[in-house]
Amino acid sequence: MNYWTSLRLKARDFFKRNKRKILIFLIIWLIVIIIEYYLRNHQVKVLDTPSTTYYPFVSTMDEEKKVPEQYQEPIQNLIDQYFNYCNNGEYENAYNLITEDCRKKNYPTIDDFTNYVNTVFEGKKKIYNIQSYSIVDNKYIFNVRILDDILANGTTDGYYYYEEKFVLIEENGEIKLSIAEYIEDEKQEISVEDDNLKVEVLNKSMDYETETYTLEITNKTDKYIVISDNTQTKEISLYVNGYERYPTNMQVAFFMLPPNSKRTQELKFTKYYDENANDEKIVFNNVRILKEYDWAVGTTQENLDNAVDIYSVEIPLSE
Amino acid sequence: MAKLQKIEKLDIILIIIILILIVVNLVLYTKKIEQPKYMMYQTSENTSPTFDKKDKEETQIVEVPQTEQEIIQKLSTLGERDRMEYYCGIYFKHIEKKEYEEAYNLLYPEFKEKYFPTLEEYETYINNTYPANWGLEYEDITRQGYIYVLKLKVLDLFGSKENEKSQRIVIKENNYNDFIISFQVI
Repeated sequence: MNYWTSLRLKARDFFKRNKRKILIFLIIWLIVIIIEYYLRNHQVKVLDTPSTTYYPFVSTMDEEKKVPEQYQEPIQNLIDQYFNYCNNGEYENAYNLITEDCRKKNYPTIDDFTNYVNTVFEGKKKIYNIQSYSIVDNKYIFNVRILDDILANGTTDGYYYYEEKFVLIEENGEIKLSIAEYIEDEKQEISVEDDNLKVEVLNKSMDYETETYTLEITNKTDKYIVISDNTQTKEISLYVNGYERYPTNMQVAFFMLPPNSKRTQELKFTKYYDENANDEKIVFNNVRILKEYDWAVGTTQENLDNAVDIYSVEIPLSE
Repeated sequence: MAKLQKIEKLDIILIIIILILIVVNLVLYTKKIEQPKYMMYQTSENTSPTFDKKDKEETQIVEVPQTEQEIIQKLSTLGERDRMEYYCGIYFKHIEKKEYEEAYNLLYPEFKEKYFPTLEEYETYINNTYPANWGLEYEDITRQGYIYVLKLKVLDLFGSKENEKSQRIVIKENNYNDFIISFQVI
């Protein structure tokens, strides 16, 4: 028996004795190879677009709230169109994209609007990015950052941005644009009257951060009526959910009516549109009916001592 | 005799299977060791692309993906900050290797047109701006919509601290491993 025959016989004996073990071993080996092959070629699913933390349509104030999908593209397109017009100096076209109320309130003429655009755009091509800030009913409030085309200049000219709130209002499925934080005006029909004066609340104008009441006050007496001249504390208050707020535009203003006169007065208060708080009443805390009054001096102790009456007036608000 | 032949056939089949498995495994193993495994020793001054979040001064060994598919796959597992640092690293790697044309081609067209209309001007700028031995330190990243602004410090490795410069790099990612870049001309 030669060497190869002997080896072959030994191998055969070996296989015969260990057939089962070898088979099990081979099967395991095969499984390992298959698994390895699968893992090697198994592709981790690549996202279609790179992940980002930028979610322009998810509200910053409440991440549960999101601009409905059907309005996302129209909103993006409308803002895009507005910026294209502004960048191209097509002021009238940009002006026409803004709601009539916003135009009337902030930019009554095209020249006013052109000045605004020139101030914000600085005569340069600007880019922008939007971020949904807050959603109240059908109003989508966006933070809009306006900045130089930083890709084109590499921030060589500086790296800063101007930010304001745009309000996108949905009306009958249509999206309208309001800029410079302006939300809307609400006509008011509230009237309070006593023997001395008549107060009519005519309008409430809302920006994102403020609301402004327009009042018409009639002095029915032949005396001076002083409502606010900054000589007393807390002369005018707005009650919001039980808390007092004070006008921000009366620090240096006089709110006084000569005998038998009428005047219109705006009272501006800080109130965020998405606060979800109710205006309850405006209170004139220290209405002074005076025989004599010198506006250059303000209310003096002598005026108070000789006052015909000093009292407070409450104007309940509609909300 | 028939039984003996049957056994012999089984032996032969087993031997063939074993040989096939040996060959398959050898091939797989050979492929594995042929594939180069790049190691990058990264410090905070490293300008190379990174795939791992790193602490300052910490040294890490990172395996660099080779094919476009591998790069995309790897990028898809990274957060935006790491991806931007990777892109920034790619750009500066070209500069480091003096591959100016490749670096130039990554620049945003309007930016190129405005500041470096020709490759020569770009090359001159690079050579005049960056020290002979420089390193980068990422300081900050901000996002403007889909555009990212990285602030980094250009260090003069063998020079004085006074030669350090701050520079902003602007990156827009169109897709994985598809980006455009511009920078603050200092």
